[in-house]
Amino acid sequence: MTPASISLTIDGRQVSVASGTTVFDAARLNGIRIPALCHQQNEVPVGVCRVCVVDVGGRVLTASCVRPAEEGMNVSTTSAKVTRARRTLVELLMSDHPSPCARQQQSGDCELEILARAEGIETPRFARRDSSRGRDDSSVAIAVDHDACILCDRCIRGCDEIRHNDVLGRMGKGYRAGITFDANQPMGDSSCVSCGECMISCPTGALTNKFHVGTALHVGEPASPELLKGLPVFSGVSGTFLELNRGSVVTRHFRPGEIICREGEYGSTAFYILEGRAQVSINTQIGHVKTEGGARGFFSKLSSRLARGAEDHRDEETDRRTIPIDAPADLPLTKPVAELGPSDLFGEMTCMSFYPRSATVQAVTECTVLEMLRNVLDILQRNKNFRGQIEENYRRRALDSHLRSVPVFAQLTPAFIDHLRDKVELLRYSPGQVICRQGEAADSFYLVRIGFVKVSQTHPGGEMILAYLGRGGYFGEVGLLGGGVRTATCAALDHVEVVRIAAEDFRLMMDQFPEVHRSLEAVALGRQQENRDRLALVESTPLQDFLAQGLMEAQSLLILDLERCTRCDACVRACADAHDGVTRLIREGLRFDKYLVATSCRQCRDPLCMVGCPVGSIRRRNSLEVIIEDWCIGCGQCANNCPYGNINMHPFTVNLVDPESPGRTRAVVKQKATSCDLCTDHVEPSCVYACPHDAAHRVDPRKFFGQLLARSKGD
Amino acid sequence: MPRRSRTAKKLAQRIELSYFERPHPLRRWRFILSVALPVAALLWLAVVRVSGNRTPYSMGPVSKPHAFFGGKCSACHVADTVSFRHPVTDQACLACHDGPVHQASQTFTPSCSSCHAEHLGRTQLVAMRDVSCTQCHASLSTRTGAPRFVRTVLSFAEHPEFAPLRDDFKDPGTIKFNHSVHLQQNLLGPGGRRVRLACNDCHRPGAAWGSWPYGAPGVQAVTLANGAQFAPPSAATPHFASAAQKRSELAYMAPPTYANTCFACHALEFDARFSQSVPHDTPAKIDAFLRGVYQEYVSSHPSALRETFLPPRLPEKPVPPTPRVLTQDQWVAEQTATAENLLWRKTCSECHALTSSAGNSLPAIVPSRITIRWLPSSFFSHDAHRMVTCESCHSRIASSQLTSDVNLPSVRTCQQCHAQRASAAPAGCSECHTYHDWSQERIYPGKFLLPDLLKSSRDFAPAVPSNAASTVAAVVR
Amino acid sequence: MLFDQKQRPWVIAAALILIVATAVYIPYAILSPQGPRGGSAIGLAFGIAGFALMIFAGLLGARKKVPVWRIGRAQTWMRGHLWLGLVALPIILFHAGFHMRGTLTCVLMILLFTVIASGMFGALLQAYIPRRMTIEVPMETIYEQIDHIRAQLREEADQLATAACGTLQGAPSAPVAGANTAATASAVEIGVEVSEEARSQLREFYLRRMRPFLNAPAAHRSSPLADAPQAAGLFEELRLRMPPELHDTLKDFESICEEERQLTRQAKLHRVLHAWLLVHVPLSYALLALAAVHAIVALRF
Repeated sequence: MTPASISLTIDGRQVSVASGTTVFDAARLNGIRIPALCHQQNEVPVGVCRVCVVDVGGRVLTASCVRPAEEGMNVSTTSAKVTRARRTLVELLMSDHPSPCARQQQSGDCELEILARAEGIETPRFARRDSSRGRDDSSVAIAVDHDACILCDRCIRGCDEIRHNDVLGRMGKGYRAGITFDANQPMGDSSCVSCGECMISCPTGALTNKFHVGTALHVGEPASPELLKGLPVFSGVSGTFLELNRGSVVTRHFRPGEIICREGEYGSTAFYILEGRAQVSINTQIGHVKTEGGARGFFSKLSSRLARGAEDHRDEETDRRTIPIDAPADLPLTKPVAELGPSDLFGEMTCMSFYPRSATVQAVTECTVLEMLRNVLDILQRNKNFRGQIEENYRRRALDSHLRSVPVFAQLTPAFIDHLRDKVELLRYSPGQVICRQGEAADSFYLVRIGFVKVSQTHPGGEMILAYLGRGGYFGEVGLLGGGVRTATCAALDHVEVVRIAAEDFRLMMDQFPEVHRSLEAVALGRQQENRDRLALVESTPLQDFLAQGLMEAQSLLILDLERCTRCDACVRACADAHDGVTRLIREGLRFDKYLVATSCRQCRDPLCMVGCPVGSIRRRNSLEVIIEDWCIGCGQCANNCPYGNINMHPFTVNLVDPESPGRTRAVVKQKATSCDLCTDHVEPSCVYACPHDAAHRVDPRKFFGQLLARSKGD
Repeated sequence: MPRRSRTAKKLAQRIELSYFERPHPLRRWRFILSVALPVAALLWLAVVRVSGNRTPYSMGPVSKPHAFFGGKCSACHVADTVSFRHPVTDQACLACHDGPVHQASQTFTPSCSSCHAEHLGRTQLVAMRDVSCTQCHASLSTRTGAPRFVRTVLSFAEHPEFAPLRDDFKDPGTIKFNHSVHLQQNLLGPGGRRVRLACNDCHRPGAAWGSWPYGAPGVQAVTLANGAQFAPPSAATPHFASAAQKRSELAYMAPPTYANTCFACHALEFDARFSQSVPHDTPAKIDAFLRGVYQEYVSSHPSALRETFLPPRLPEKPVPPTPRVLTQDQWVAEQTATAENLLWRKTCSECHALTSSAGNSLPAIVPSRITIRWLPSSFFSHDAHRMVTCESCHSRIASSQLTSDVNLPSVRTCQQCHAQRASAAPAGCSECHTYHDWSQERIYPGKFLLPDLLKSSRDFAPAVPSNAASTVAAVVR
Repeated sequence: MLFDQKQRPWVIAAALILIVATAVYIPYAILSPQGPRGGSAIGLAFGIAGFALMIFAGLLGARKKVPVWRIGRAQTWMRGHLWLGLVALPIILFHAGFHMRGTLTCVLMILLFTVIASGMFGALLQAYIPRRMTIEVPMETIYEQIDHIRAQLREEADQLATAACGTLQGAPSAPVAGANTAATASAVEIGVEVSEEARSQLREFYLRRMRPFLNAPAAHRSSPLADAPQAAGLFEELRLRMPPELHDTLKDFESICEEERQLTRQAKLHRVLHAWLLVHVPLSYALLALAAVHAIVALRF
């Protein structure tokens, strides 16, 4: 049993500390400062930098941060031996330090350089290493300079112990030792959430803020913690946090007509309206890219233009009447404008999942908004007061339009929605979190409010993705209407918020609204049939290459028979000719057998392109063709998402109301996402039609390669 | 782990989306050449045209007779006032040539250019293919109805027998001549030599007027004291019926003449006292000759007036008892009558047919009517057939005894060589026949002026083909 | 262009045209008074037919300019082009009666023969070269983009080299616009302990041999890197000399060199495959232009 209190001598002073206290802490508590680099109060000491060495009379000097104080210990922190050892250590570290490092340049507080200056080290006697350990600029928020890293592990402990993100770690040995993100991924590709903890922890310029993205916002006036603490939604948020993230939330004032955020732009902030009203609208011409000419006559050249849904009813047109956006409102398709008021939060998806802005927000009255970065929003989302208010807002204002935006629920009466108002629950899920699992009892029905939900089924052969559901999507009806058991696993793909309707309310709804029941049942049956079809497909698992190239997932491939193709490029020219000079086809890609699988939409069964569309404009027809709806805002998210590079942006010059000077129009180039439309006006795609050598074909890969696959399976 | 990997997206994103809008050497060159080459080709034509040369457009070189026109297309190609065409009209041809009608009774007259194909190189414009003829002759119909000879001739194999060999046709000649006798061996020749005659001792093409084997001038020109001259008829003057016949001097055998052939053996003696022969001439000339000769004789032999005339062939007849004394004129008349009696009755009529008429003491000699060209509507060249012996074609000649025998070879003889066989001699119609009836030809004087023809083809103005008939200077014999 | 079932109707059509033409020509040649001539009615008909066939064949080029017009699939046109274009030759020979006497007609006939011969040669090439290319150039890309891809390869190689051996002295880094290889190569290799000697060896190899080859493959035909077996040997040797940590980089280098070689090979094959068009297309336009002149002149005279 250790005594509750021990006494020891530090630099000649007799001190008394609690048992278990380290020498470092004992000195600190008694006003004796021992320099340290790897040690920080809020982290578990590891004693790797050895700068905090003291002489406790032992054979060697000891690191004070990890050495517990002992009864009667005589500690010297300033003896010549200690001073010389510390100086050598710092000089060694400095010799490998790119002085002045980024931190020193930014804020002049690189701990190592301050220490070196205190020790009077000008130019280290030791040679620098001659090769760089490299930089990593892949993260949008944090710059990594491995050369400045002193391997103190403070960032790693911050990431693991404080944030529990477990992204950072150590790798390599000796000369090549360094910090790493996940399994040596570039930081931007890793699972790092850019919380900034590591950057705060770093003593040098190894991890620094990239101000252009900004963990601190450089617009508006920084909201002081005091101001924020006074706001109801921030009550309960720790002041330390606000202090630490000073600059991550700013107050901004907008005059009437001023743009708060613009659709299609990338950003990293969310907005919370404190005062005033703002108008949210989509300023892109609502219209899809329509290729014309072929239907009119033999000789007319094809041209592309934007066609509104009203004038050009495409078959299998959705009866959707609203555009889902990243705000607590849905925009009517006919007039995509809505108004937001005080205590509305918008831009959540942009902030949390870095999706492009889905709409333009413009101040209507004098507006005061809080613009915040993800770390602040994250905290807010965890704050009960804030949650309560958001939920309340949703129930009061958005539930109605949200439910009605789903066509099958369009007939619900206001009375029933009132009934639901207090029953629905708003649930949040982090990326990867399972919402409901295959085989569990079905107890609720879900409506997606924010983010994307991946619906998949587990089979002996592995997981099969059935669908991605975005805002306006719903799931759970198959289980409720069927055997009461979940038939698929639904998991959050990013930061997801769903509206949960409990089973009894759902049943009530089914009873009260047989029309809704019928249409939901039809949807459920359709989904089940689709699943069965896919399963049949998967079970005829073909050869490896076919799978590896994702050809299995494709419903229609543009292939070029390379033994016939003379590389004349007629297909590409035809495609460009048919689409206003913008080709949707690239005659490059991987080969399968003697065919080139050209870069042109494959109509995937697992359409990754649909994940992340901020306005939910890209969808599939019932025939599973990918189709881009009128309200595409041209952000390019789908083009980034397509694993095969098959989606391109098609520029159009359109006259739009100038948001900066209302009432006037100006010509602007607007992008619309386009992918191969199979030249639907025609019997045959233009590329295939234009191939003079019978090399280009649009085929169903399973049918076309069926024989080939069967043969190789037989081998 | 190697970092390089090939995924569809990476591959696609390496490509610039608008690459196909930019020119690339292969395509650019294709475009440049595609423009440049046709332009160069047209430029070539343009340059040639500006320089006035029309030869590139020519469909081929023109035939020899037209070669002097060179590139002066408009000499023949006359601009049509109605259309843009420049056809060769018959008028253009008829400006220089006559094209006599083929047959008066033909149902239609084709245009010149439908038969005469120009621009085929240096070929014979008159060389026709049989089809030109069989257009009509395959099933001939004439304006007068049925054709005179045969309706259908498709090739030489079906050629009908030559007209002189049909229907007991007789040689119209009046010279009594027996080929059989003349071709016998051991004929008594001039100077008592024994000779054997060959065909070409007597028969030679009209142009081959060399020395004849028996053509030593046995008949000297005689000039009598009264100044009268009696030259033998010129042997070098063939008498051809027409210009067309003249063209065929080498082709046809000249008619044998007394002076060239006969006289060597057949001397025209009239009196034993004279070694001379009478000239081979008209009876009137002979009469004058005889009178002249006797007059001369009696002048130098006055005694002859008193000589008893003893007819040598009647020795048993008693001599008239009284010697007559004749005047010089009486004597000449008597002697002439005696000699003419001998000549008219025997010597001349040995070969010639003579007719006497009332009121004329002298007989008339029937024209010899030797046929030079048996087949007037076709052309045959003996010269071209030199390599064949005469008898192999004229096979019946050795047995021919009468003048009226037609010794023309049969068409079958011709067909032995001229047939539609490979290695056979050509058998086309135009080998023998000409379309135009050249016997009717009118020869025109040319209209082109030498300075005009020497101009470049650009400045050359075609001679206006005036009405052919008006400029005709008929040179018809 | 392979010769398959789809060609059959066209082959039959072409054969029929040829048979009919021959059937007309033989009696015509025998029976016509002047022999077969372009100016006679039948000769003119042959001429018109031949010219029409040539124009049709030429229209393929125009048709390719408007690929979206639905006036028959391009492959149908191509087959028509091949077979009817081929038939144009005998038809024109019938038209000319197997003669060429005038200057223009002579030129036309020579052009026609050249065009048809080059076309047939091209068709054979198109049947043969794509197979070769498919087999020999698995990494082929778009011909027009080869230079662009090369620039990206150089960039990629530079980045790989920098990652493996630190800075490259005197290496001007010319970033290529639009190159997205940066993402893959920007990953910094850390913790791989490689001796400075090995790295300088690699740097030496890269700067002395590989970079010059990548910069100007045409000027380094004799470089061992330009030849697959030699390059394989060279890299094998390098692997023996270098520590295993650098083997991945070497493998990437090898693959870049391989791709470079294939691009060179592709460019060559592509030029072989398309060069005949430089003869065929311009000459056929010249042929059509002169044939039109010939038609006008022949109708006038």
